Amino acid sequence: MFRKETFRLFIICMFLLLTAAGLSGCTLPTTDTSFPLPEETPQAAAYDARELIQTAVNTMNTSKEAQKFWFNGYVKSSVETRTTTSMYQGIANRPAQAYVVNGRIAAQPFRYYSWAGTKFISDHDVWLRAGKEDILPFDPFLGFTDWLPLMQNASLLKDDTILSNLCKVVQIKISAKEWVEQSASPLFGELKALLGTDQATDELLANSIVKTTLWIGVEDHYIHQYSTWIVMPLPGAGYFDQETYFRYFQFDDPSIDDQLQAPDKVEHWVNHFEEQLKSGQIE
Amino acid sequence: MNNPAVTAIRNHLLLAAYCVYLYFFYHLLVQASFAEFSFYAMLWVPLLIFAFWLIPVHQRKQALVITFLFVFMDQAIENVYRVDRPLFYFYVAFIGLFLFPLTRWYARIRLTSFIIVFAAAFLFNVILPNQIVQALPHLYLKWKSEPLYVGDITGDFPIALKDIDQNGTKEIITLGNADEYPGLERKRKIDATLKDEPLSLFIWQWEKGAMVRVPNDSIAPELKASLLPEEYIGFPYYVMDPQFVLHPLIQKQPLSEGMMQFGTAPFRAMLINYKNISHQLTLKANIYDSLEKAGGFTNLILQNGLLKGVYNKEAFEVPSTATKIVGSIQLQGGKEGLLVLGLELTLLQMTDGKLTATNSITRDMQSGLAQSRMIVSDINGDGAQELVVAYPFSKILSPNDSGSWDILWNTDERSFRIRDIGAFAAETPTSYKHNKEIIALSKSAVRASDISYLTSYHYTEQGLVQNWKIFLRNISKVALGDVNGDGKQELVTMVYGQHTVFVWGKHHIPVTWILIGMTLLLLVYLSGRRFRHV
Repeated sequence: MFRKETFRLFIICMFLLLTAAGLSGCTLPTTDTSFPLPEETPQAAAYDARELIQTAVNTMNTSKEAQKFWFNGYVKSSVETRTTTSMYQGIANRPAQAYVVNGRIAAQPFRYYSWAGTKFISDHDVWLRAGKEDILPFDPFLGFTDWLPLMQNASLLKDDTILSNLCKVVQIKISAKEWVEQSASPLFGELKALLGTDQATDELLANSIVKTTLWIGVEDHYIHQYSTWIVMPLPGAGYFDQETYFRYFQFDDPSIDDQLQAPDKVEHWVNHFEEQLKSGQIE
Repeated sequence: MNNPAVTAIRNHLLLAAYCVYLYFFYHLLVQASFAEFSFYAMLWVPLLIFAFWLIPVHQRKQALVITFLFVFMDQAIENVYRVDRPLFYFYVAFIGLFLFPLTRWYARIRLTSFIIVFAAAFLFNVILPNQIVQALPHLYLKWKSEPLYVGDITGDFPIALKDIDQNGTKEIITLGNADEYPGLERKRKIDATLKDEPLSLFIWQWEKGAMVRVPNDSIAPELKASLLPEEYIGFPYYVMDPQFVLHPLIQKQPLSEGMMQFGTAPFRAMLINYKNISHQLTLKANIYDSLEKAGGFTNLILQNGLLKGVYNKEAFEVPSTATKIVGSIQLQGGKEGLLVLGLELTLLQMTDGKLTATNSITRDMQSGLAQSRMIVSDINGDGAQELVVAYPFSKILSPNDSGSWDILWNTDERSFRIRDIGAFAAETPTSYKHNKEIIALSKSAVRASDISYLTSYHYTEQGLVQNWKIFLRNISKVALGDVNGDGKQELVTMVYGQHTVFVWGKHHIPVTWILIGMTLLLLVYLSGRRFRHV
């Protein structure tokens, strides 16, 4: 009796093992035999989004509740099989002219602290004093109105919900040449001057596609999220895709005052590291 | 047999043999089945319980302890393998000193037995580090480079196999900074700025039975830049100059200050892109791409919005916004076409003395076209070449006369990546000898996770049939080519983040089946013994 049962169990076990081994090496059949049909997107009527965006920017700048918030964003560039991302997550406190950002550029992490004129930067958890050059005023919603000249003929997409806020979604799709020519951004001054004079730049920008989308709250008129896709030709590597994306959330979160403290509360850390670096304890 | 010394030696040898068996059993059967079948591999549990139950009661505890001791020690030593050497030996000693009293107290494991198990676990980790054992069911290691890079830039550098000296054997070409930091001793100083990353070429060629580094000054400077494919490491934040130095275009502080004016972020991103691309274009005299010869096409050049070249002594010049010349493709009926990649992939053919676009793939047809890599190869052995979209959403396509493409095979699995196509195991007398071998990274048979493993397929009308698969993790770069002049192709790989080149050969020993057979024999032996004793 004993022997028979054991033997049976043994046979079953072996059968399972061999089936499992035999299973490997199956054939991958094809999933499709024809290309997907291009989606018929009905041509949306042009929507003048200028007022919507202007109101949103004004609200972000003036609403009492929008002065402290969390943010999360990235710039993600895909070139063939390689993707390089820079990331920015942090907290902003506008009345104090302050923010702290957990950043990452090409896989190298860092943190950056800014409180009015005081700037610290971290490297591998060691906080250092950052340079006094390269400083810009903390004006987080600067730049959105630079899109206005192009927003006259925007598309209004289906409403979307961002973190339970119902949002209007506006989008424009233009060439980078149009972007540089028509946007009001002073950042594009030099590029604008090259247009019409430098053939390579003309071609490069004319062949580049820019698509920008904004999610603006129906009730609060906040900018909740935006995304800009840039598609540009790259020598020897096809065209690359790049998305710049930011989202703002937890407006007026009371914990922000604890998370982002004034320099007199954090400077002793920087002093501590400075001493350690001076004495050679860390290098 | 009754001589106690002989018995002792025999027992120790048996124990050593058991460790060897256990090592391969654990890695190549147990670990591999968990990798491939996920939780279904829990079927091993009842089988192992059964196996231990077969061992007589008075020996069971010791057998269990020896088995688990070996597996745990192997794992523990593997976990500490990557720390610096003196510290590694300290950890290994600690593992031994910690486990010996424990096993001695619990199961009366003798010191000599413990040392044998300990030594086996240690030796296997030193001889086969970094999970190399997972390749052994189908591959054997022919050569491996020293680690080539130390620093903060993660990811991989490009690798290419090219016959630079035209002697019929391909050289292995990649980048690293082991020349700048001999022994990879690079002391990192606390500093928040991005620095130049000087890299240099590493070229090896096979000479008299060994892989030999080719001195970089023996390569003509103008040739150096064209040896490796342009892969845009750190794009758009870094640019690489012709001397292979990566320069940062921006620093962390101005980047952060700029990005925190959120509305300006896309404008700033655009400016960095422009700076990077115009740097490239200036270096290359506005040439987007050029190729001396592709099939019957010669002197191909993409510049100033034009594609120029010669086909059958006939010069052509057509407007094109493409940025990359993929290559020529042999079509049905002896025709030949040229593939260029821009926003779309376009097939151009000479018709009535004019180069005309006949077929194209748009971004709507192929999602992720920007991240795609194309390989042209005759997959099904019909004499005409197919276009293979290697990644993402791999496809095998054949252009047809109606301006479209026949899909011979495709997948909607994003993680599936075709890496190279060749004839690695071509000498095997199997049904796929006429077809090319497709080397790909594919995920486990049942798991949803994207962890993918090196797999070889061949094409049939029913789909891709798997030739072999190994469960070595994180392989990123794969290239096929004859690098040692034996007339057979070798498989050259790099593991993500390790910056080490491996050269593999294909063997035809049925390792997995041998292990299954040995396991069966062991079970038969144990059951025989068990029932004799009962």
